[in-house]
Amino acid sequence: MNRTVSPAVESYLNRMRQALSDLPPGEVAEVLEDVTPQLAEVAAEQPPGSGIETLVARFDEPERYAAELRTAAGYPEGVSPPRATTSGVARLALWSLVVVSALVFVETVAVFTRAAHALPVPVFLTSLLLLLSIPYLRRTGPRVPEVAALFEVRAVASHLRWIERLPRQVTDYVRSLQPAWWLLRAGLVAVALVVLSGTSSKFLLLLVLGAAVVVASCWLGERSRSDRRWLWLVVPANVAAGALCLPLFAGGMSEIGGGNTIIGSVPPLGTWHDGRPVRNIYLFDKEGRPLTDVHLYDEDGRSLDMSGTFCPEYEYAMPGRRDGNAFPRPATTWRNGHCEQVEGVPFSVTVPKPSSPGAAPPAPTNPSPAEPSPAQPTPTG
Amino acid sequence: MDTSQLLKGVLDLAVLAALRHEDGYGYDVLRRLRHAGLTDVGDASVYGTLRRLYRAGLLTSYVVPSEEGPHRKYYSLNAPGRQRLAGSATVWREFAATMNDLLEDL
Repeated sequence: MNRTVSPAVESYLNRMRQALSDLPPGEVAEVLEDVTPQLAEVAAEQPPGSGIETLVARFDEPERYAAELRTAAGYPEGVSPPRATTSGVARLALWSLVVVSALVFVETVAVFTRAAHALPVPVFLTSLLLLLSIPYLRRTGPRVPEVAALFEVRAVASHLRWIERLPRQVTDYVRSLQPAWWLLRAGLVAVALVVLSGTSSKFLLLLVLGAAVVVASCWLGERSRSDRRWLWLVVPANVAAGALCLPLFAGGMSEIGGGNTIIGSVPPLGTWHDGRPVRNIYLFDKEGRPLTDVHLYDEDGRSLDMSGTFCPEYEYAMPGRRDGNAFPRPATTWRNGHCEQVEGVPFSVTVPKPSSPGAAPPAPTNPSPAEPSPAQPTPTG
Repeated sequence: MDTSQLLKGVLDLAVLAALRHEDGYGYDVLRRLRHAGLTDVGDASVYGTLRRLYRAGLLTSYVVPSEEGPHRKYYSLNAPGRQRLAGSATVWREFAATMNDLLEDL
């Protein structure tokens, strides 16, 4: 277990390990770690190359030593035969968790930055790897001792010892923030699911899904505190939620706080209204007459540029032109395989009389904007 | 009278007390107890007791690498451990006082 111990100590420890093999390997490793310094010291007083006999003379047979230790530690009496080594299975479970978490991160970022659709192969791999861990997780204890005993886990853990030495106020405070994170990640996942589902009744779905995800998230959080096996579900979920946070930060703090910010900040560019991209704006005066060449500005006086509805070749020909803030833009239509730009307003509106307070918003009377008509003001009001 | 029988009941208290002022690895604790006069205390019982107290949440542990030998796992008393130590010490003092009263005239 340690390259600095002599062969005699090594074989003494091996016989102890054998005698304690019915216990969780993690606990056995901890016990042997406690015992080793004294064994090593006694062995160091002997001439090099001496066997296990001096240790047995001083400490008794390893099996008796282990039995005495077992009684004092309150471990169950061990009679069962030694188990086959499970460290291979434990290592598989650990590394599949690591790989799954990495895949989940990449997938989440890819899908939500619209860089790619869900990649079927990683999704399949992810599910398969998680399923592979289940038989092991069903067999092991809540502290997952076989994984805790893996040397890579112990190496990482020994680098994190400083956490235990932090002031108690700090660790208690951080711990008290955990339920807040459970709520936050539930919210993120619920919003992400709603965005992915693409349904129209977003609010209702968000409410129902949100409630379910919050309950699940808090339950998982509470459970995984005491039963580390749930980490195989919690860690990938946390990674996904963390990846969902990235576009939020990328979207800038100024966007946080508005109505649809979480949804709205996910797409990188453009103008959005109720979760749908706005590509053109048509304006009408109070008589219902369409206005042309109107220039729009936002509340800070910045011109409200939008990516236009121009034909692709038109855009490529004039890359600088996106096209300022003059509205309405020409509509595009495909005719005989060619994109054509059509000036004018594809529909007419009825503007309610100012004398009727609380009137319905102007309603388009031509519901087929796909067939733009020439500029012909057709006020019907 | 066999002191090892007496020790069994108070080994928890003794181990907690040995860690009261300073963290220590298993062999440290054993030597402190021996040095304090508990010469009969068994190696394995001390290591076992440390594990039991640790699993009961009364101790925390951390590993310190050692240059000349295997690394050492230090144990330290946490808040519940100190509470337990204080409580057990009170019980012990009352018990010892009662025994002393019983044996006063000897």
